[in-house]
Amino acid sequence: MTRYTRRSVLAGAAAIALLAATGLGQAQEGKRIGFMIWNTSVPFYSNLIKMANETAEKNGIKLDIQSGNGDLATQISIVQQFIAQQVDLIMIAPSDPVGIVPVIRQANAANIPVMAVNTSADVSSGAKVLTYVGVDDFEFGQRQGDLIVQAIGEKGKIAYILGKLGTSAQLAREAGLMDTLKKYPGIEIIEKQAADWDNAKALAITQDFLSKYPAGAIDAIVDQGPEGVNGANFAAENGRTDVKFIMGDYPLDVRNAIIKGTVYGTVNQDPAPQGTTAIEDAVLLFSGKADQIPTPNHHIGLPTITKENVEQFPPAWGG
Amino acid sequence: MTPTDGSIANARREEQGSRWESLAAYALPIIFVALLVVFCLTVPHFATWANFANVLQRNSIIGIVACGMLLMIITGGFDLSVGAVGAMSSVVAAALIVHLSMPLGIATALLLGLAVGILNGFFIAKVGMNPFVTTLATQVLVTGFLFVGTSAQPVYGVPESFTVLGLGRIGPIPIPTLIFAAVALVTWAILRFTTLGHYIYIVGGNKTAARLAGINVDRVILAAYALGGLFAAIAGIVLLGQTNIGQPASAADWPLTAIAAVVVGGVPLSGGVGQVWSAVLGTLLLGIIANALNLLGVSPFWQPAVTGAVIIVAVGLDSYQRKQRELR
Repeated sequence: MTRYTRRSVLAGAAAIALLAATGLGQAQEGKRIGFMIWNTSVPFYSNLIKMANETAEKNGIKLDIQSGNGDLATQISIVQQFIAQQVDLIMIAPSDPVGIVPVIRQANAANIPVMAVNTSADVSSGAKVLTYVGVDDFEFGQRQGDLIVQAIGEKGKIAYILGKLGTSAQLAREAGLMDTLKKYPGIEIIEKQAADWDNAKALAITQDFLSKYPAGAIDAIVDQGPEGVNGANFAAENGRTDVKFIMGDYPLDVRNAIIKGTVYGTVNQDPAPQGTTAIEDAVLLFSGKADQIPTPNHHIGLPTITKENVEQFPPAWGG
Repeated sequence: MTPTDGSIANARREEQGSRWESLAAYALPIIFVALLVVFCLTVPHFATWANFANVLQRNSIIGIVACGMLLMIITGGFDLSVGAVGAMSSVVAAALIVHLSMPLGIATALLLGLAVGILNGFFIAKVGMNPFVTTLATQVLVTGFLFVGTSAQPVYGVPESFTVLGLGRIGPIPIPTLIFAAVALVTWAILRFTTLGHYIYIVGGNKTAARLAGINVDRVILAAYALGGLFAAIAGIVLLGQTNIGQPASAADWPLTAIAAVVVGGVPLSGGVGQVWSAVLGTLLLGIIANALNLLGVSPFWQPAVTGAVIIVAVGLDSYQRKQRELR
């Protein structure tokens, strides 16, 4: 009995010594980050979470990821819980940029830095956010607009499938697309419907567009998300190769469709580097190099993918 | 006035009354046909077989779910877990099809759906929990397990040939619609010809009376929920055939859409009554309205409002007519 105790005491002492030795070397060791994601069950976030966890583990950071289950009140209470736990940094991916502001102010008051990741927070009313790591959905929409011009030229009729109405991605991507199309008055949006980021709904809407507009009456169908890919395959199977399909995001099925030629192109918002970059910025903060973090936005590039370069890019998720 | 005249007038009034009553009982089919005619005449591109085939194909999934929902509603309950079961079925089938084999994937998905249905039935019938609470709990439970099992990642890699099940056609008829028709036919046969079907009506009408009449009420409720779970799993497989990915977050709107389809078809949530054609017509009614709104290019902001108004009007008409009949 005593032997075991002595051994475990020795082991414990050794462990503490080891921890101290490594801990002295790196400032971020043992720091705690609370990360609130508005809804972790959205497939998009799985790679972001995976890369964030891996990067945190590599740097000895304790990362606690919590889901807001798509509900603003839950999101707020999770951030409040992080404040109560006095974590060293709070990361947020809120569903609404404005609705999250009051709780950011609470974190500011508690002197806990806040970083927005993937979805942004509104800083116009004085809430302090370290930086926003992610992509610019406005730019995402602009890239989609470029793809349209690339696909059909400067004149044509297009139908537009929206994501869930009122989500920040839906609003900003639409604004970005409109911004690009402003320069091309020959391109006309003749239809707009919302598919709520849902595959079955996007398919139904695509079918209705195809019924309404016979060959030659419509040049392209643009989807804010990747969900329209089944509609694109359906169109090809039914001989409607006259319509070009442009998606948003780059999961495996969209990649396959681009290779097959049923989808013309997409904009790749890769979630994985967002997870990695966010933690790397946190490491900079913890080691006193906060001035090296790009502010107010740390934007990650948005490559467009078409048949020409599809082979170089592995799918953003689902691979 | 002579007494004879009076009695004749009375008889005539009664005759008219019963004619009106039988007309009112068919309010939904009449509304459906009227709308169909109006849409055919006014909505461009509506009256083409290609469009009808699309509408049938995409509403078959909800139709299959609605058939199961009907059985549960007749027993006086309903099931909020059908969406979770559908998502589970499509995810499990996708994973097994990718890694093992297609028949095994489909069979396992259907068995799991049946199992969740039996679980629902067990808690409602044997434990005596409220259907709302029970099925809400299983919905959350199943969704949770799905997210744990998949990290919310869709399952990719189902061979493209599988889309035949969701998008294929035999002649002019979409295959999902044939599956829907088969499910509706089975539901009709159960309600019409089997003892179980008759018991479902009796249990839904009055549980105590059914128990006193010697009916094993628990077993009837268990069977209804088991069938509901099985049908939801079938719908999940068809969904996989349409999207070709097993998506854990999909099908979230099935429970309420299926309940809406059944009640729009004129089945009261109080239980004891209901026919299969109500579920079928209710599904198709909501389906053609959504289709017509898309074809007319109605703004996506307005669409939910129109659907809500349709549900209120259809169910309102039916309830009012039912209430009048009870007062008489």
